[in-house]
Amino acid sequence: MTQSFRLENVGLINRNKKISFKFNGKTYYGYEGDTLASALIANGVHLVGRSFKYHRPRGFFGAGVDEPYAIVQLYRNGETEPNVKATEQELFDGLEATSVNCWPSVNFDIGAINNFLKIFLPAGFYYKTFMWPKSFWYKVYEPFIRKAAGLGVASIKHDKERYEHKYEYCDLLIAGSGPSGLASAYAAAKNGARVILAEDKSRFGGTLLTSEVNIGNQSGKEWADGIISELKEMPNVTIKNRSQVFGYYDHNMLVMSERISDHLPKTKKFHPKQRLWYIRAKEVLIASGSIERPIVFGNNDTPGVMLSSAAKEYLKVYGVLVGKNPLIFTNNDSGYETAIEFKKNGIDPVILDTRKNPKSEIVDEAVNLGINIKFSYVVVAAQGYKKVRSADIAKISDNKEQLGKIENIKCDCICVSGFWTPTIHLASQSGNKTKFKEDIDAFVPGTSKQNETTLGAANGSYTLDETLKSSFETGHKLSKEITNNDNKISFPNVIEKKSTTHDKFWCVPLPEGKNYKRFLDFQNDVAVSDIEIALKEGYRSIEHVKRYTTLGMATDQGKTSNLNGLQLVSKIENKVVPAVGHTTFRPPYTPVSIGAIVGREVGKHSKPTRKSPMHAWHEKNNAVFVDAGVWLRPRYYKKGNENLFEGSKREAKNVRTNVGVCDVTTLGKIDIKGPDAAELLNRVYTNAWLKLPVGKARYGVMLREDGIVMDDGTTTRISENHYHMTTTTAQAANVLSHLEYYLQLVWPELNVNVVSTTEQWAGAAIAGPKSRDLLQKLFPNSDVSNEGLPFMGFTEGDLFGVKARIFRISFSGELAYEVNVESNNGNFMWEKIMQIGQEFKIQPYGTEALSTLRIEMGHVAGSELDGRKTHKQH
Amino acid sequence: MLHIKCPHCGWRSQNEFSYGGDATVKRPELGKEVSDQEWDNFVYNRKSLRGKHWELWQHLSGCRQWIKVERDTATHEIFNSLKASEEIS
Repeated sequence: MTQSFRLENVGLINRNKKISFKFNGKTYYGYEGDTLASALIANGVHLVGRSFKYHRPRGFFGAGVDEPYAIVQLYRNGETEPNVKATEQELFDGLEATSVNCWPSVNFDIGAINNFLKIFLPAGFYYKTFMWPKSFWYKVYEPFIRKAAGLGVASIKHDKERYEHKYEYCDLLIAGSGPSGLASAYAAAKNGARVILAEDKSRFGGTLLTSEVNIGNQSGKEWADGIISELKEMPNVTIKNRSQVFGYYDHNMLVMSERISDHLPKTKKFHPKQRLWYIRAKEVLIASGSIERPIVFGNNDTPGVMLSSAAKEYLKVYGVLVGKNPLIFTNNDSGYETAIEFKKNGIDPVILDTRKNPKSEIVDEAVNLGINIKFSYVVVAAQGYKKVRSADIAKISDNKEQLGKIENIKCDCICVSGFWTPTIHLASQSGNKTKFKEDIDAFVPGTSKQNETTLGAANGSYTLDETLKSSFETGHKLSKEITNNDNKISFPNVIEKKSTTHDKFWCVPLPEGKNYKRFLDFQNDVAVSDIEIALKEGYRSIEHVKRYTTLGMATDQGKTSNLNGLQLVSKIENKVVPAVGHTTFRPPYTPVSIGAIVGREVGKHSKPTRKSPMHAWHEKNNAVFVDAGVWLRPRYYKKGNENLFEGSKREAKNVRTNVGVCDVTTLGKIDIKGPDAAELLNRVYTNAWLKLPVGKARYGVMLREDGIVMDDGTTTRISENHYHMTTTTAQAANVLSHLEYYLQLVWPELNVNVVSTTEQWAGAAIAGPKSRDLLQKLFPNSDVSNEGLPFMGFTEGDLFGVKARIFRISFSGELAYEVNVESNNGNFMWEKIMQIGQEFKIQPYGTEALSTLRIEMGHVAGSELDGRKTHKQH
Repeated sequence: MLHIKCPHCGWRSQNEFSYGGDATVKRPELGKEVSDQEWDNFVYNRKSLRGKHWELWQHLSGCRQWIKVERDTATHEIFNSLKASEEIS
């Protein structure tokens, strides 16, 4: 198939590299630098999906993040991803995509019958139509709605891609690389500030790529390229394309998602697919620009109806014509710029301007080029089903309420411009109180709460000269405050065509006897009539109207629909827009993949895994492991086909009859030193500690301040002012914090130091009637007799050249000992115990047998310390 | 994520800290006869202020020191931080 809508010699794409891709099974070609959207339009494809509710045909509406229609299921390197915007997805070799929300195919979609049943699917239809009988909801209605609605399908396979997180600090974070972003970044960088400049698209420059301006004797694009290449060379500047700053959180922390590999056929080795940046910025400059808003008219969702700025971008960036017989419908000068671009490329557009007699340089240029302009004209309705074929147009009265005679004119696309809406999402997320700006009919940031400044079009300033000036100044001023440098930059001479005021017109009235659907929200199929119903039914708050009608709730979050929705509500309610207010802007500004949010914390990386020094031995000896807090502990050592019950029973029995050994390395250990150590223990445990002699251990119970048991364990007095405390595996960290709390805040007069030594010691519990015999053989030079090492006694010993601590402590009510050695000797100790223990029929035992033994003896088992019982209840 | 000033280490992100409750609550003195009401007040009864508030944080993944931080509970603004040993004025 030929790219019959591609212009020659126009655009920023690389024509030397042809790329093949598939859409709905059919092969097409585009060029490197295309998006999926621009490549499809170049091939004359305008039908990409079906709408959410009525399954009406869907085409392209925008050229970027604001796109409500062109959502596809993407296939890349054996993986699939739902809800990808064709306008954002860059083309790569072998890309495959399919339409969503249609069955059996986008051309013949059974769900489109909803279009004829729309009387049954009004606002809030979920709450009305499917209410009776009640029992039908789960079995019939819900599964049906889920199948009929919904967008793409998520992959159920494990995602093999890698996603990373990065934490960064900077002086200035600048979101957006249009004129205001570039100017402020340049000024700040020249002052030596650490700057991060983020651009969500692949190309830097924003509107400079498409506008006909002159900055310092260069085109807008040349100037942008020059600034970018200079910034790239500066060590204090990080510039990132394909990076969306999507959330503004507390204390000037912003989160940005960088799409590193999404534009490639497959992720390079050792590269992540996406990276999430957590950026703490001293100052944030919001240079996010503005989004053109549509004018509402009949059947304004027909494929071929699109934003005039998108048509211009397809033409200037991608060299693609959205139509060869375009109709421009505008209430301001922006539509003329698009018309002029068409005209310059040999296409004759027709302009319908809602204004009666606009006068400006841009309008004059269009007139001089001989473009057919109809003033005080509107599009009443688009005609055509899967693509615009013509438009019903009419003259409109000065009060914008009466339509003249309807005429029909042929066209293959309708480019709409209803003026510009500043992208205030980030400012609003930061806590900025927005205000309504009458002259542009839109909200702009008001008073800042955090260190944030909004520049240029995002601040409602639509002239380049003013934008560049204020951005240079802001970048200079803020960076000067941080770095104390004062490098003056000469301000370039700016030439741009002057425009005149827009017409505050946003919705074409219905002609007599016609009942066209006039859509506000294109992704969720919310029409003017739906809002009218919601208000008739008593919904007043804009937040309620939004939720009842789903206006602005789709994946595009109403970027093109919110303001027109507000206009409608305020008109019906007879209020002014600021009195209606806008719904809350919440992060993320654009959808973020779950993978990027999760980062590397997947599967076994979702929490640390701690292993004792004897872990390899356990593995070799068929241990079945269990998670104990963050530790892996042997639950039992499987012999043959034993199950858990049989294995643990055998191990427990062997402890009772011979001797067993259990890895107790995971027990929390805290080293306590200082003259007041005994006093501290006396205060944090329920029992008395002042009289514990050196070389003896004692069991203690620790309570929280509310009397609930927090932990238990033994503490041994190693020497005069030196104690060794053990805690349960799970509570080790909390007990340390608890002790630090008392020592630092409550009783700072106590002269005590505490430090965790859990990882420094490896521990083995030796239990059973033959444990003493075994111990004597392990420590031939120590006296471990009942008299030499009595119950709760402690001594130090020599284990074949390794220094060891020996405690006569029983976890399970048996005659038992605990031996500790430095961690790196843990395996040596364990192997010695197993080797010498052979003659006593030693067997290792796991946590299951340990619990069995404890419960049999009436001891508290770990899981009973559940933070719900007092001392007495235990 | 909040940005908290540790008086020992400087500005650090919230994920290095753990929250420790109201910093103005004083534990009843040791050895003193304490009524149930007094103990209740120490353990449970909190004003849950909206606005400026002194609270305890522990710099868990840093110096492990407990610190006192003055924060606005509504806006999250942080005004001041003190070492454990410093008195709230």
